[in-house]
This record gives sequence, C-alpha cells and structure tokens, in this order.
Amino acid sequence: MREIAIHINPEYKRRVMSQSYVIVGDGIAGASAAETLREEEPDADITIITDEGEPLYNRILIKEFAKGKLPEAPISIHDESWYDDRDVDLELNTLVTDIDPEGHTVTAHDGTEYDYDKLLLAIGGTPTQLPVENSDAEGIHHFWTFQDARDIKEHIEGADNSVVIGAGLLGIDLAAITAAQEVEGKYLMRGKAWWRYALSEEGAEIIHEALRERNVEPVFDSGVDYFEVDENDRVTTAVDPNGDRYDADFVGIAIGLNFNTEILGGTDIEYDNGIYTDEFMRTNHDDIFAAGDITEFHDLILGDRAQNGAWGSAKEQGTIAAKNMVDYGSEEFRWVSSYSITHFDFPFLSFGHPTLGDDHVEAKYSDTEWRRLAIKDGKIVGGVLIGDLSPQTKYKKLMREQVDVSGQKEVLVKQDFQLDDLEGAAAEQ
Amino acid sequence: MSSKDGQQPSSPDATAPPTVAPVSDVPPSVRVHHFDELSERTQHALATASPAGSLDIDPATSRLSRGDVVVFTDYVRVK
Repeated sequence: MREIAIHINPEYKRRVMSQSYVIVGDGIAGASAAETLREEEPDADITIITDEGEPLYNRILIKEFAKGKLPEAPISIHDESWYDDRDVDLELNTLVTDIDPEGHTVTAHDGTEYDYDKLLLAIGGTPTQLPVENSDAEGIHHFWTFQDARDIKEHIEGADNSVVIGAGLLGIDLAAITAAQEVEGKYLMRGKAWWRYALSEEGAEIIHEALRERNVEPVFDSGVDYFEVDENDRVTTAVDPNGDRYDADFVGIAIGLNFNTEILGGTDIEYDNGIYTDEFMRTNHDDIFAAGDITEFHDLILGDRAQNGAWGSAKEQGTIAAKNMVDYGSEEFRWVSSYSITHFDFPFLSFGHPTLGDDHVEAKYSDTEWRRLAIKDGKIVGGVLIGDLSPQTKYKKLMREQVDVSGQKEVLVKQDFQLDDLEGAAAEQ
Repeated sequence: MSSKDGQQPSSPDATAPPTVAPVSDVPPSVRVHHFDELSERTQHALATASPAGSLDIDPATSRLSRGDVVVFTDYVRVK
C-alpha cells in the first residue's frame, strides 16, 4: 500500500486542530506556563507531569514552615481542583525518564508515553550531595522540597545542637531554621564570609552578627571532611578539614543544586549546567521550550547566557515560554530578578547577577546598612542591599535600561542616591 | 497573632488606604505571600511602611488583599 505524506500547515493546525502541550515540572515555572497556555489556547490539551507527590506549593515559604512559624495550609498554592477546573491533566509521582524530540514523545518511569506538539521542560534541580564519608547518615538533611521541610521541622524540633554547611542563599535558610527553633548551631563556611562571591567581608559581617545574636556561630575556613555516626547510623559529629569537631544531631546541607539534565542524555537538546534557550525560552528544537532555574537563557540585559532560580524570574519565564509556545517570537524574556532574605530584623535583597561583573562599588552606612553594586562594562549587572531597600527600583531601572554609569561609582552609593544625581547620558534616565 | 488579629475590622472602609500591622501568629485559612512574590512597587511600599503604617498601593492592581499576610522582616497583615 502506498503511503501518502500529508503536510499540515502549522498555522492551520494551530488554529483549527487542538494542540497538545506537555509540561514537565509543576513548580512555579511549569504551573504559570499551564495557566498562560489555558488562557491563550482554550481548547488545547495540557498535561503537567511531576515527580513530586503534591501540586504546586510555595517553595519560598517552606522555610517559614520549617521554622515553625507557618502552618501547612498557606504553603499550598494549588489543590488538584485547580487543574480540574482548567482541564489540565496533572500526573503526580511521575518521573520522566526519556525524551524523543523527533517522535515528539516523553516517556515516564512506568513506560507511559505522552505525545506532544510542544514540550516545556521546567525540571529544576536536585540538591548537590556532599561527597564525604557518612553524608547519607540519618539526621543529615538537604533542603529543597516541601517534604524536605516537613522532615527538617520534625527533626529540628527535638534536636539539641546543629551544624549547617553551605554559605549561600539556601544555607542561610537552614541556619535561620535552626535559630528560629532555638537550637544552638555552628555554620561551617569554606571561606571567610557568607556568600563571599556577592558580599565583601564587611557586608557579610552584618549577616554573621545577626546569626550570632540568634545563637548560630559562623565558623570560617571550615567545611566538612567527614561525619561520625552512632551505632544506629545517626549523625553525631561533623569533623572539618582542620580536624575541629562539632557535635550535632541535626545537620543541614545546602551546597548547591545539580540541575536535572540527565534526561537530556541521548537527545541533541543543547545544555551545559542548564538547558540553553533563547530569549523566547526556546531550545535548539523548535517544539521544545524550557523555563525556571533549569534554563541557561539568553539574557538580553547581560548580553550573555544566565541562569536564575528566583521565584519571580521562574514565574515570568513560565509565562513567556507559554506565550512563545503558542506564538513564537511574541514576547521576549527581559527581566531583572531579585531575591530577598527575611530572617533578620533588617531586610536583605539581591538583584540581577551580584556575583558577576568586572568592577564593583560598595558602601557601609551603619551596623545594619550596606550596599554593593556589581558593574560590567560600565553598567550595573546586579547588587546587594542590606538594611535599606528603597534604592532597589532606581538600581534596577539603571540595570534594565543598560545605562552607562562609568565614572560615577561614588555617586551611585550615596546614601540618598537619586537618579538625578547622575551626570551625562545617565542623567537622562 | 491574637484572635482579634485574625478578624476583619468590624466595619471595614474599603476606600480607606490599606495599612499593615505586625502579627505573630498565622491561622491556616489566611493567604500568605513572601516579599519576593510582590511587585517592585508593592515591595517599595511595604519596605517604607514597616513596621506599621499605611501602605501606598492600589488594592485593585496589587496582589495584596486586605487580610493577607506578608512575610518580610516581620510578618505583617494588610488591613
């Protein structure tokens, strides 16, 4: 029998035939994409596949739950009826193990195949394991999912002493959880300052002091060489590379994320640390998009590839990806992200890419007020504000509009900085 | 938060500008936002309103509604 090839014009198909969208990941990026797709395509088939056992929850509030300050209910964002109401198929506890870009299918761990016309990968990351002896002992926690937070809360409430490892934005959440639960702790850091790639020692000292006030002692030039355990394989002690020993029946580790790129093996989807996308969140495959912290997207402001795990950024990426899945090129991702820490009496906010740049300027105004701006090619690419967040909007505007602030570093960090203070072309902003 | 904190004002004036007030306890039924979920404008309003005072936002366009709790340096409730 002769086979007849039928070519359907993609635009005709989009308008007349029901499109099938598959989203892998039900974090904020995947869920916001589903919401946008439903708005844009009322008749489309939409499926969300997630390996987690519960629908979308507020990942940036789970630390408050673990502290014991919030009940579970407000952490949940969607219940299953949210998906039913929008005619979105939600597949919980389903791990995608294979992608076939040519066949337009993804396969789950149980062998189920899902066909798609357009695929969104919002597959996030998994906490990096500490490669030392006994790092999988009972009592050692990583912190990423709501279930992690439940396990941490249950354990820390009965703990006597703690050790936290990981001098970054997730590590300090763990330290703050131990402090809120009034468990004495040591916070082991490899360098001489918390988040040393974004803060100077002077800026970081504000954070260190706030931790000390909460009975969490930063320990510098430290880390973990190995853990000691008891006869029940429960952690008892962390031993650092200097041979110093820290007793702990609770250990929290947050040394980074491994992005879930393993399912891309065997495909020709381009990725490195994350999945490469353009500014429309599309990969090198026309029908495959990515969003959230898994993406290494083309950052129009930075003029380079960038990766960002902030909540607002992931949500926006999901929305933008969905719009471009429906109509490619319709809207680009152009965003200055921010991330705040709310554990202390003073506010802390980082924005953009505070660890990048070829220059910087910083200033301290009081014991709890400090700023640092990261500058690249004469333009602000990120920063950190401690104590006073009021200049946030001005700095973000300068960054978003790629204003050349060369030669005006000292003006930028005047305590009451105003955009009018800038000279030359920058003053026109 | 005391039980009083969990209640809406007895005769709320919807046209009055929203205010914020610290709370120490959050009941399960309350909607809670982290500071990072808010728009830049609302963040600015909140940062300059703390610890208590009127909130310079447009309730019609902001994600925040009266009764919501925001996790900032304190937990604050929009009233």
